Amino acid sequence: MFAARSPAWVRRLAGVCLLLAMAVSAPAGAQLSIEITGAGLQRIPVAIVPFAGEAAIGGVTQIIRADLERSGQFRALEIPPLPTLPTENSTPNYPEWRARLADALLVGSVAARPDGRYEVRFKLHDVVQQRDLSGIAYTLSKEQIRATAHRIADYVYEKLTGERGVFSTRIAYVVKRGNRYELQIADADGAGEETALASFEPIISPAWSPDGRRVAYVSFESKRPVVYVHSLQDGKRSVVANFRGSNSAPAWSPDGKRIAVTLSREGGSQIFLVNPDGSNLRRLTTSTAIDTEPRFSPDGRWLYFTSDRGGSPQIYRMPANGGPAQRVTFEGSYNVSPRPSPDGKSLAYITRNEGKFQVALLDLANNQVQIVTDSDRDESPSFAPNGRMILFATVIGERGVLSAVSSDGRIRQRLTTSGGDVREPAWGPFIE
Amino acid sequence: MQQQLAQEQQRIRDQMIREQAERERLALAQAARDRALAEWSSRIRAKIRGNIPSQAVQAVKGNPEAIFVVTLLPTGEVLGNPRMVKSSGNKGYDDAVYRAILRSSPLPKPENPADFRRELELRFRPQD
Repeated sequence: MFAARSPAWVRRLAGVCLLLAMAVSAPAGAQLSIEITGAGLQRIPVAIVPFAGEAAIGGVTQIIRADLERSGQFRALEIPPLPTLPTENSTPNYPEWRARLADALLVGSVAARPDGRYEVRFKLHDVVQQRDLSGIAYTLSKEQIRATAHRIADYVYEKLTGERGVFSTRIAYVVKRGNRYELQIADADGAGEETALASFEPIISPAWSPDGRRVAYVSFESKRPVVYVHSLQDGKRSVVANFRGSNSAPAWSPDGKRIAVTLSREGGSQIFLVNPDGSNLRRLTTSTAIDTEPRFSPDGRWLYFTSDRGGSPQIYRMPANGGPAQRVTFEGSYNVSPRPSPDGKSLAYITRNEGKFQVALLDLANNQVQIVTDSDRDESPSFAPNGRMILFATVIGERGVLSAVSSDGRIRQRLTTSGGDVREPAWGPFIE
Repeated sequence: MQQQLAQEQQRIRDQMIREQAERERLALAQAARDRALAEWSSRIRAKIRGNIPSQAVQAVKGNPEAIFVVTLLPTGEVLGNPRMVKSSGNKGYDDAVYRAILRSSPLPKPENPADFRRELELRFRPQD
C-alpha cells in the first residue's frame, strides 16, 4: 500500500523537525552584545581607615575625609568595627573590602619621633584591581599636619581620578564686616584664614600671581581705586597703577611678567599692560567704549575682556600684544567677567539669563554655551587650577556668600567662611 | 483515484497547518528568548553603568566607542580580566569602563539558566 520510498511530505516534515531541533538548541556559546552608554557613579566609594596613632596630633583622617567628600567625587565609607585594622604594612583582604563595596582603601599611621617631629605614612590600595597604589612617608612638625593631610588627599584624588587635586591650594576673597573690609587668604577648605589687608574702604578684584606668592588687588584706601601688588610672604606691597582717574581689574600674564589693568587716565575705560613694579606702561585697546576685565588665556597669547563697544556688554578677545578684537559671546544681551579655563578650552563668565545673573561656560571649540548655576546674583567666577570646580560669589538672603560649582554643573557646594558679607573670590594656583 | 487525490490534498493541508503551527511556536520561543536576553542585558547594563564614574565620561570629546569582551562563570563572576577589543582612543575612559566592569562582578544572572551566555561583548560610549 505504501511506496517503498517515503513520500515527499514526510521528507519535508522530517526536514522541518531537524531545523526546529537546531533552532531550539541555539549555541549557548554565541556572544551576547550589550551597549552601555553614559555613566551612573557620582561618587567613588573609598574606605578610609583611621590613621593609627593620630590622636597624638589631633587627626589627619578627618581632614582627608572632608577634602575627598567636599570634592563631590568621593564617598567615604563607614569602616565597620574590625578585630584588626589593616595597616600600611599589611596586604589587605581585597575580596573582603570589595564585598564592602569599597573602590579603594586608604590606611596610614602617625608616629612621634624623638626630635619632636612626626612621621606620617600612608598606603592606598585599589580594591577593584586588587593592587597597591603605593604611598608616601612624610616627616613634619605639628604645624604642618593640615598641609600634610591635604597632600595625602591630593594623592588619593589623583590616583583615583587621574586629575590633579586642589586640596593644597588657597583661595582669596574679600569680607565686609560692618564698615570694615578685609582681604582674606584661606586654605581651599576655608581653614587657616589670614588677613592680608584690612581697610575702611573697599578692596576689590584680588588676582593671584602665577607663582602664588603675590596677590594684586584694587584698594580704595586713599579714597580712589589704586592697583597694588602684595607679597604674601612678608606683607610688603607696591603700587602698580595709581594714575589719575580709575585704576582697576588687574590680571597677571601666565609668565608673571606683566599685569593687564583697566585705566581711565586717557578718558573712558581702556586696557593697558604694565610691569608688576609699575613700569613700562602700554595701552592695548583703542576703542571709545568701555573695555575692562582683561584676562589672559593660559598660553599667554590672547586677552579676553568685557566691552560694550557693540552696544551691550559682551566678551571679546584680542592678541595679548595688541591687535584687532573679535567678539566671543553671542547669546544673550549681557555677558561679562571672562575667565578662561586652565586648559584653555572653555570660558566661564557671567550672563544675564531671564533677569538673573548666572555662571555660564562657553566651549571655545564648538561655541556651545551651558549655564551651570540657577541662582540669582552670581559674580566673579574663578576656576580651580585643575579646571574642575568654579568658585563664585552669590547672594543668599541679602548676604554675599561663596559657592562653587563643578564645570559640568553637577556638583554644587556652599563654602562656609567666618561670616560677614563675602565677595570677590579668586582661586590660587598650584603651589609647586 | 479521486479518493487518493483527496486524501493527498488533505495530508498536504494538515502538513501545512502543522508547519504553520511549528513556525508560530518557533517564533514565540524565539521572541521569549529575545525578551529574556534583552531583560538580562538590561540588568547587566544597569549594573555596569552604575559603576562608571561621571567624571570619566565628562572628559571625553565626541562619542567614541570602546569594546570589551568578558568571560563569565555561571555565577556571573567575571573570569580573569576584561579584554579590550577596541579602544575609544581615550585612555581615561577605557580605564574607567574597565574598572566599572570589574566593580560590577558578579554580574546579574539570567532568569533562566538556559539563557546564560559565557561570553559578553560590551560596547561603551560616553554619551547616549
